[in-house]
Amino acid sequence: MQVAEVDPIRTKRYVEETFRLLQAKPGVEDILIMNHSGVPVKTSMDRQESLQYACLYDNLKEKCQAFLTKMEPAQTLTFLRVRTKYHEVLITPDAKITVLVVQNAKDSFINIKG
Amino acid sequence: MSKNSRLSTSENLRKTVTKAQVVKKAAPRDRSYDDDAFVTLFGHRGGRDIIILDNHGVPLRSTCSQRRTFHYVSNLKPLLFMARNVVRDLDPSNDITFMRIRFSVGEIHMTLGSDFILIVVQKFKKLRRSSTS
Repeated sequence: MQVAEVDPIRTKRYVEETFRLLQAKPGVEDILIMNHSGVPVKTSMDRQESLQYACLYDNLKEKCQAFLTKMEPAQTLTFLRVRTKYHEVLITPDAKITVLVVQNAKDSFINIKG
Repeated sequence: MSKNSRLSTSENLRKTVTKAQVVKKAAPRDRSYDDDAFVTLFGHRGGRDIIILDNHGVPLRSTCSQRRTFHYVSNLKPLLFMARNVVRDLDPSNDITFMRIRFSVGEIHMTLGSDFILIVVQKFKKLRRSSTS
């Protein structure tokens, strides 16, 4: 707990800033920012949905992290991107926070081919 | 994998690869890749391992050694199916198409087609500029 609260003012402003910058990007549908233990801190989704997303994707992120540490040499995850038919979820683990962005997947290749 | 099984899997690969090329990619290059040409083409572009799996995650073809392939597949296959479950949990009509794991010295791309799974493991060079197509 102490580690997360090391510099709370900067973290909060950082979160707000990140949120604002992300919302300004085109194609972004939802943003979810979690703290280092996976609890949603700031989100544009409603409560239930944000908890679901946070839980499931944090779990996935942990598994990816575990896989990478098994590789030699041990790596740390910098980015995780899961793309689906309708949208794309980007997960960025950071020192203090984890940012999850759901964005529109304009997949022109697959659409053209039907 | 014995020599016999290798031959049969490469035949399966020919079927799956050509079908996949038509469905998935816009194919700026020639559509029907010969078995080895496909793999060597990517192999020359610096530091890539390609693993081709069938729909159930059974490895068909790989550019790296069998031990390494097994190591990758045994870790990545459950990860991929877990991601698919995550996506389905959130929205039952949705289905995963790609997954990209990126770390400081490289990245792993996983593509799920209708008949196959393609995994590309890539290592960046020192300048952190991987050769792009």
